[in-house]
Amino acid sequence: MVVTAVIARLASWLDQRLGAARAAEAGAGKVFPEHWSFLLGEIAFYAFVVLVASGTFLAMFFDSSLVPITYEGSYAPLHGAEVTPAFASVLDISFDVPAGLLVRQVHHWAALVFVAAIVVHLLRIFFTGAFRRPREVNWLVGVTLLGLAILEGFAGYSLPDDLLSGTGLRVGYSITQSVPVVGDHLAFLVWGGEYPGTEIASRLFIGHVWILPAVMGALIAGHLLLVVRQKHTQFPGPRRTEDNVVGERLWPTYLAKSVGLLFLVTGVMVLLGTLFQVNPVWLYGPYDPAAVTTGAQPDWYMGWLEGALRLTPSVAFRGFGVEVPNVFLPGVLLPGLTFAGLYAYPFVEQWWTGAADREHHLLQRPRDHPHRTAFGVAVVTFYVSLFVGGSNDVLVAQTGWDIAVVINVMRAMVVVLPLVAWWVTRRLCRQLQADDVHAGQVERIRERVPDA
Amino acid sequence: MRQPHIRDRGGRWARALVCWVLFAATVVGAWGMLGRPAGARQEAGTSARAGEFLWQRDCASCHGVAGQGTRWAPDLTGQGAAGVSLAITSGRMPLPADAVGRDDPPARERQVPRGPVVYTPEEVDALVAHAGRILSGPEVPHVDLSTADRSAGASLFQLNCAACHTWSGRGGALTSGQVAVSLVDATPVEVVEAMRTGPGTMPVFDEATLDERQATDVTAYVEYLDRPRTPLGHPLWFIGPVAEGMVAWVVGLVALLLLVRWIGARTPAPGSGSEDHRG
Repeated sequence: MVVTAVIARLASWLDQRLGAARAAEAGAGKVFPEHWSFLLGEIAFYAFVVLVASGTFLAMFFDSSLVPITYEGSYAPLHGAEVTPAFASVLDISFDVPAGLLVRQVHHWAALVFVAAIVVHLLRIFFTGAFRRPREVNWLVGVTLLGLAILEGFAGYSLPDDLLSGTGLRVGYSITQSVPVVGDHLAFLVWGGEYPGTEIASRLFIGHVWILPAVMGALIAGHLLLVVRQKHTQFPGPRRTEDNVVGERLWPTYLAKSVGLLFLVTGVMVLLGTLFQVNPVWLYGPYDPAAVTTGAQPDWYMGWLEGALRLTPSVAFRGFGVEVPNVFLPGVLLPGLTFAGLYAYPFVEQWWTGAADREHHLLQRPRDHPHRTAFGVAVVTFYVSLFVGGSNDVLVAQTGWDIAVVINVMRAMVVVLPLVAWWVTRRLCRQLQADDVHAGQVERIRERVPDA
Repeated sequence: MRQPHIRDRGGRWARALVCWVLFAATVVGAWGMLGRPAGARQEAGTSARAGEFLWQRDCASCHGVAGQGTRWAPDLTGQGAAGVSLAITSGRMPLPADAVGRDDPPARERQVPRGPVVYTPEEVDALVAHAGRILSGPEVPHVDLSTADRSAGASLFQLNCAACHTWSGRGGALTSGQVAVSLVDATPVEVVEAMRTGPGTMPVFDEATLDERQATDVTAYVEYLDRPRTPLGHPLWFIGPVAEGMVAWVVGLVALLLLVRWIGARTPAPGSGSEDHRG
């Protein structure tokens, strides 16, 4: 009783000053349509929450300096080795900070799952046509978040100054240099001079723990506000029209489910961090610009770029006195075109189909849009093929195949498989549509002849 | 179904069957004896004669009496006792008889995997001693890891070995279907022998590149990599980010997809749910 009275007084105090009651009432009554696939973005969101929480812990112990010191922590095999404070502090987190390794592993797994969830969320939006008017702006926000998530992940992967992160940065430096005319200046600007320098880790650190998360947090807030403002899309069904939203109210049903999902995501991340080792930097060893290792891969979300670098034939050209090095095509042009294409897609489709005239709140089934679905599957196949190319050395080491043959087969796959996927998907969509028509006819006959 | 029938026919079929089984066993047995070197069956002793005998019997037919190499097998000049010791203590040599002389790809270009050692320790000593007498090249090294500096070894491993054997020493891909072998099963002596003799496509790391102390340090780190520290969770076979990406998708994301399918609706429930109008 006393508690209720206190809450009531507190609430009315807030209401008098902020007008909170009206906002809370409107918010709590908000209806969200129910479908499991509408929770994919929420998985990404809660992974982000886990990342911020675990990352805050890690940031307290990480030291981004690159001025060499002697390692004196408790990991014996590297005792007395010359390392950077960046590397040494990650070893300290792993071996000396209580629960440090668990948090580190949870953080890394959460990052891998975060980007995976974003990609699956994006595919759901794409294949159900949820990006159509009036939601083009939110599509742009989402694509930006994907790009930032990849950058954020790469920055985090690069921080510990181990052999793999240094190798990744070395690739990044060369790609930056490959930009015509301004490449060298750009690389000098970002790295503060010649590679590797002593600046890059602290710059990445600021970007990784402050600038990128702040921008992403703001964009995520905007992303969600737009969903609230425009109301969520829904699948067609009984009572569902272009003019209404049918589902559960935010309070209490939807909120309970959503909080439950937060716990589920956190639980899965902690389980991953406990059951599977990730990024054992103590075995990769401290970065040495003269050293390199096979089996050096980026985290999965950079795998398509790694594959592009490995599979693209070495093509360099000169024009107007400008040298365009061979890494420009796979390293700059491909990601540039990828994100340009992602940004432009809703507008290109509107222009192509002439469907810009009205708003769409009911989702489409992939089969009902064979052209879009086939195109999407072809594009996904293209990137998956590149992705597989990024691990060609691991594949060869596991199978004993000839690497030259493997590379050429993969090059062919990158070209051929998307075309095959496009053709197969279109046929499949048409077949499913035909099945629907047939099922509809049977249904109608049943209605007319009840005993049939 | 046939068993009672055979018994009924007075054992004629049974006798035939026994004959066939005996014949098959003879063939398989003979094949097996021909197929593996006779070393294990012979009492060879430790004398120089024994080493020469084993060399003539198991090595000379392919590598030549003086180890000069033939059309089927490489020249062993410069490999010394260390090279021969590495080949036989890792069970790579001698090749099984049926693998010799097969020309696709030519035996001399094929990479031979580790196998069971076919000689007794005395025979190994005799053979290696004989190899030391007829071949130029490094002696079998004496490796004492008790005073080795593992962290110096780690850095040398990273610089000289990881580029092919990978950071974990689990082996990696080379060109033409060859691999840099996994170092997990290699003994300390084998590791140093490999550095000094450069088997297959591996370069030679001689005293000028890695002195005795450095070679010992590297070996200490290689030994550590057999069972490196994995404080928390399954090490995913030391494959690295490729395996991690697979786990993130196949375990992490799939688990979450199953969970959201469990808590989320699958088909619109007709008639239920609240309704809002779009503004």
